[in-house]
Amino acid sequence: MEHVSSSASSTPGQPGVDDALLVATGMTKHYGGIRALQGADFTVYPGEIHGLIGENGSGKSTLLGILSGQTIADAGTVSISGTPIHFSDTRLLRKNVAIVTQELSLALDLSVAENILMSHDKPRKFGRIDWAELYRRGAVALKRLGLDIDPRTQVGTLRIDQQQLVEIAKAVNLEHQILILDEPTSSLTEDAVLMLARTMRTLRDAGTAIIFVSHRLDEFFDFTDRITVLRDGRTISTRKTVSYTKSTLVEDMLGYSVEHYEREGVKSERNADPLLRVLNVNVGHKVHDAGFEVFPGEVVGLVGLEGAGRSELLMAIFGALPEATGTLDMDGAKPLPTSPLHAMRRGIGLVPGDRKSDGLMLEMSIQSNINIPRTAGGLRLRWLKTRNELTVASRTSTALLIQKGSLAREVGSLSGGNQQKVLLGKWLETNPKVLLMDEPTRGVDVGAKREIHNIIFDVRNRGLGVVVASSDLEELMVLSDRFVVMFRGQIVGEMSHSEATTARLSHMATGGGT
Amino acid sequence: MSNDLENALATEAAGAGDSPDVALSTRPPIWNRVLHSRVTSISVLLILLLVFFAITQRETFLTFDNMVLLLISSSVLFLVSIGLTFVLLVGGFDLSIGALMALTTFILAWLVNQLSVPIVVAMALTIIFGGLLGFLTNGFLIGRLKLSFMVVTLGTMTLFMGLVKLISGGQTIVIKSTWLVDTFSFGKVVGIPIPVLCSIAVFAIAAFTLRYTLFGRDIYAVGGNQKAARLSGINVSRTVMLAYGLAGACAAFGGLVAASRTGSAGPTIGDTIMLQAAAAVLIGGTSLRGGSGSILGTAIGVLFFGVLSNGLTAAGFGTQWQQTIGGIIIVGAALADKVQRDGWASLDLRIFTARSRRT
Repeated sequence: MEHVSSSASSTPGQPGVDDALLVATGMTKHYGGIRALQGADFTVYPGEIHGLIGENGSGKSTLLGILSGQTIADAGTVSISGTPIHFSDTRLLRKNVAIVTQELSLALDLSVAENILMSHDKPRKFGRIDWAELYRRGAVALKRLGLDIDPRTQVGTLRIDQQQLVEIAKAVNLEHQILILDEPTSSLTEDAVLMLARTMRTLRDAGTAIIFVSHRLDEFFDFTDRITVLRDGRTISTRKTVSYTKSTLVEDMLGYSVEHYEREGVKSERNADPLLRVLNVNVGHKVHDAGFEVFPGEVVGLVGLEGAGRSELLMAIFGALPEATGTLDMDGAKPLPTSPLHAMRRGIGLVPGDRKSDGLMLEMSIQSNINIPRTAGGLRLRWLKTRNELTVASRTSTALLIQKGSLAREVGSLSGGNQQKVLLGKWLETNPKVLLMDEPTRGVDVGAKREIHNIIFDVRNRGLGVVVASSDLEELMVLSDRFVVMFRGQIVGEMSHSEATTARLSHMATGGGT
Repeated sequence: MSNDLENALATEAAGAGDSPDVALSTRPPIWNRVLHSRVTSISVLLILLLVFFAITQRETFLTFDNMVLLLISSSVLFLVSIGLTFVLLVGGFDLSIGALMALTTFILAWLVNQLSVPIVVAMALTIIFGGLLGFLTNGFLIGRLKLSFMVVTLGTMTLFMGLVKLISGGQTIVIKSTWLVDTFSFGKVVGIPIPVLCSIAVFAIAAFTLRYTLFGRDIYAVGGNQKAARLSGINVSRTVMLAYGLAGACAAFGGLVAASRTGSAGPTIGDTIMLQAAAAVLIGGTSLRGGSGSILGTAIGVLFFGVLSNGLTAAGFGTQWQQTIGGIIIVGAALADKVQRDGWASLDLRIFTARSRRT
């Protein structure tokens, strides 16, 4: 199934440009003064899984938007099976290309089957909708992905990873020649990822071209046949996957070579008293009797699958869930804080998992965002101390390497990595003793991820207690000094860094015991 | 490949620091923002309108007396709109301000006529009453109990209108105070009528509060992202309650000015004000989604409609024309907004054929 790079297309017995399903050349797109694409080329053959990789801002999403007929390019040519397509005629693209993005396009109040068959005519019987047939077709589509979901279920009641899978099933069911999967795995469990990989291979063997995007390098090597690297809106390389190594791939992506890195030694002061003891936290059906400790100068990795109750536990400790009950011991045992402000006053900060919906005021400036928690509480009719806030914001943005242009810039216009740093910065400025972080590097490129890890190590070395919740085990292995594992709302075990392996943690997190 | 290597690969990115970020390297310059701001475009439109009327009605329009008249006739709308701006900024809406305004004029009449409260004290009490009413009804139900603002304010609007009819029996009531009409309404300081000075003062206080106090920032933060605001330690429910309280207080102030023009409390006094205020606030660039907009924009929006109505009246066009043109302008503004944001290409001008799939 392997294909050669387009430059070697003349070799006999190998597919050439003539066999290509989709050829895009010289793709150019400007947004105002911003050049998102500057002449990128991209070719996809039938029956291949083609990885597309690039840092945030490399033009990946713009290219995918053009190919799926959602964005209109300024210049360049696109042809499908040799037929050139005019840009304004996005219909032809939409007829041939299905796309799944992280922004789900599901109708939450409708059933799974109705969502999957949204773009089809509904099956009819005597002029009315044949619901039995509709659900049967939905079930078939789900089965292709190996999903055990009732097609009658209302989509809104599903977990986020299940919703993502339904979205994929919906796109697969369109049976278009080209399927774009833009970061389909970021919210999926390991099992679901394996299932998805199997589906992708089946589709490929049936002749579908799949364009695959992910933030996890491993997945490119495990799943794809060829990889195209984008940087600065240009195509840097297109080669067979086997001819890349991780270092050449990252080098192509970043544009410079990288050197070796060793994890910093663990400096946990376990002889000290714990900074924070969490006891008997209950949140409805989500968290049962959870408790753990955080010592100064350590990073605790909170391991658990999507839906295990990690986020709810952190939110409860932070006082953001009124229905939660439990005890926090920080210099004396007291009930859970009653509000985030209350938690902040006790020395707790929370970096929420979804920075856009829970973390930042996207239309407000970097400066305001950084200063808001610090100035929350107290009399509200106080003047804004503009000069003071400027000092704080520039100190933070320098320390955290926020690439900003100006502190007056809207946070929403920053790249994902810089937004995440603003979110971290605003909590560090409240001088917390314990910092809780939920998925601190979700949707952040590889460069910014490393910077954020460094910030976390730095915070730990200053003696703070840090709790990091993530579904990315590899990331937790890098960050954590100690692990606390959750399964179905309960804490099922603890492990030190030396005892832990991803296999053991993942076994525990899926309910396999210690 | 080992996990450590992957991080190793990433480390360098951190070290280099200046990894290419397309969005960052080309920041739109300041003038671009000014050019694209709604306040700028509506200001330009206002100036064009002023120039147009100044040319077409050379003798009557650009006179001091006419300008004062324009300001005085805009002052009620101005006061109400300032309050409504706060509510829109926190991402809400208040349908009840017109009804609340009518209700407060009867409170004033009752305080003065029945209880013989001195007029100045009665006016202060009326404003406080309006504020408390907004705070405790709309504010409490929407801010604290998290009910839908459309339903709640529809309910309170109906309730206040009912109360007005109960109290008044459909009749206007004369407020027994000559001071209210002679001194407050028609009195002038350095040639400027007192109601105009009042609205300028309220404008200044509101603008400064929004721009320079923590409360002002809370308003924007709550409107911009309520969830994030709460998780940042901001007391969201209190902020929302205060916004509706301010809307109530401003509506009561507007009611006072309206009552002072005729010297009486009337059941129909706020009948059309809510929609006019909404138009002025929205055309001034405050977003219905909350989180963006300004008092200055509202001021310009109010002046725009003031100038339009004044100029058209002087040119002999009645209210029917003013409404028609006003309506076209509001829809045009929505259209201009869309084009400004997404470009001309985003407009799908077909009416009957639906697109096959979402774009």
